[in-house]
Amino acid sequence: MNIIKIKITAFMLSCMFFAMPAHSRTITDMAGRTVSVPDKIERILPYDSKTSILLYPVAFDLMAAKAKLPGTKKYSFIAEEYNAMPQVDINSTEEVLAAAPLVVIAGVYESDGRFESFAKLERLTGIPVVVVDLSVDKLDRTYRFLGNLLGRESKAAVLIQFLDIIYKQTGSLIAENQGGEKRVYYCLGSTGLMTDPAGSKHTEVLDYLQMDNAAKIPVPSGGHATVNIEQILEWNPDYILAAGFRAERNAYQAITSSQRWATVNAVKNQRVYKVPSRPYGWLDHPPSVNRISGVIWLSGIFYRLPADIVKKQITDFYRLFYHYHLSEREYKALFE
Amino acid sequence: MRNLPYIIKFFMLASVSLLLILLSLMVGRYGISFAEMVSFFKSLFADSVSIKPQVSTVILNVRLPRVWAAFLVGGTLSITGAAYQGMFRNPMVSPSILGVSAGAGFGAALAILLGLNSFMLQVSSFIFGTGAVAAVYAVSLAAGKKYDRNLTLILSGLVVATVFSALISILKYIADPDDTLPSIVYWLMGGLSGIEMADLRFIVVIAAAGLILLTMSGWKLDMMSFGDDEAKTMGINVDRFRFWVIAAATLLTASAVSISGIIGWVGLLVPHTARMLVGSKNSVLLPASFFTGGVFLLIVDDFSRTVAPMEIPLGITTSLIGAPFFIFVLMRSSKD
Repeated sequence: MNIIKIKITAFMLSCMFFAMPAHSRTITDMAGRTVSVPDKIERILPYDSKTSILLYPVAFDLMAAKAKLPGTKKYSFIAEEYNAMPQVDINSTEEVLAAAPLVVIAGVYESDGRFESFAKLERLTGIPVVVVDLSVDKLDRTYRFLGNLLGRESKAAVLIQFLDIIYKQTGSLIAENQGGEKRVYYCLGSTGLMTDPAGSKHTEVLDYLQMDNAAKIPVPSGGHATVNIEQILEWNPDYILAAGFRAERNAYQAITSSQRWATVNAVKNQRVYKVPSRPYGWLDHPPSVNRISGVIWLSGIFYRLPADIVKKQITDFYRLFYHYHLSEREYKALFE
Repeated sequence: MRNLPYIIKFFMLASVSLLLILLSLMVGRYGISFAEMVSFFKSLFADSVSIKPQVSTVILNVRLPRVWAAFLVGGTLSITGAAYQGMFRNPMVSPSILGVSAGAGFGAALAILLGLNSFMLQVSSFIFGTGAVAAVYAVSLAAGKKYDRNLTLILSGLVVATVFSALISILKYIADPDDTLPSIVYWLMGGLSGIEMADLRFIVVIAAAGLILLTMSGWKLDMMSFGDDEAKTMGINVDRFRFWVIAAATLLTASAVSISGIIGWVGLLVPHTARMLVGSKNSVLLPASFFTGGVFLLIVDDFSRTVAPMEIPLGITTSLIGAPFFIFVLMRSSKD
């Protein structure tokens, strides 16, 4: 009897020993949640694809895996090591456990309230989930936080410095260019009739650039709404940005060649643009740090930031955030 | 109403159709004043009248194809519904009973996933729609020698439709939730938002041929409603006739569904409405169903494209408007 008791006690003690990280600290994450994390975080897992891109430039070597962006097989214009990284589906608890991260990091927006799923993941796996902010205008703060959390202050500092330049530049461009033509219609899919209306987090870049999303309609739960062409003629946007997350599904061709669109201001003035999509969309898909390239590009279109500066900053962005050196030819190819 | 001569009833149906087509051209999200409308119609006959280019774009390139499409799709679905209800001797039968919608849905979802253009999407959904019915027919021939042919056909239809629904679910599951998935879901709910004149070339021919051929064989359908044995004694080759009705109905439904997506209700309920108007003699009921269905879907589509800035899928409006409409007709006709 006694022997069994001792065995059980020993077993329980050993369980506690293995379950408890060597040293742990309590932090407050960017959503104000209190999380207990190990002192030294050597292995992390991104919660979803938008967090993957966020983490890659600052902590590539700590990432156990990246998250899959559905519909994408291979990412171009990003370092090969990123493609080679395994993928983990966060919905598969067993895969998460097999990846054995010390911390899961999840990027969200301030408006998001879906912390329930994070709490559930913590309950199921015992792995702490740290929430960080993905708002396009606050990424400097996010990288500062990540730098401190992961002990990557110097790597983060380089990224923060770049972001600060972009933020300052955008602020002064907006201040210098008040008024003027502001209505932008953003569409996705092959017909050009699917849009992300004003207020959707998928069009945060337009809000940040203080442009006016022409589609002022209720935001459906998925973020995307289908409208009809008459409605677009009525809005009569000054700019059209056509995103196709897969190049062959871009509506640019349909919009610029169809009679039905011909009277729209943007089409008449040749202000229809294909949104570059490699390795990730420049405005969205997913809405993460990749949108900074969209901010730079659109500063050129909306606020006449000189083309050579746009090119230099985009090239710098790819080097810093995707660890990829864009050649002259590849830079052109981005826009085709 | 029921006692009026057929010729007068058809004259009324045709006038109502024409009137509604004209009225539908006048409503939409793009504001066109009555004066602009009048001068547009004048400009068709006199070159001297000048109008805003937007007005003619909206009416000729946006509303006209859409109005025609709604009328043709509604008519096509209704006439096949009426023919099937007669042939299967079952009031609960709709055009999709032999799996054509499920097959077409799969074809469309596959095309969307592969990023094919809108013409190839129509081709794909047409091929899979007709293919599904061919499979059903083959299964019913192979499996059901001992049983009633109608029963085996309906059961095989159920089986094949279930398989295709499962395949659609797979495609939805692997589709990109930001772009591809909403396109698939939207297509499956039915809608005419992207329609252009060129999309209608095929369905015009099929619908006209189907209307004439089915109406001409209406008396045979009357015979079939007494049962296979009765029809045989009247000198009808029952199996061959059944094959031709199914073939015609499938071509009609597949060509409608391939441009409109899946629209329920119409093919099931409009034939009953038409029956209340003209009685159940098939050579009268079939064309009456065509016109009633055309008018019904035209009204429904007018709602879909005007009440909200967002397109409301036809699958939703047909049910919301169809249910009270049907109850109204039911109450009116039981008063006579």
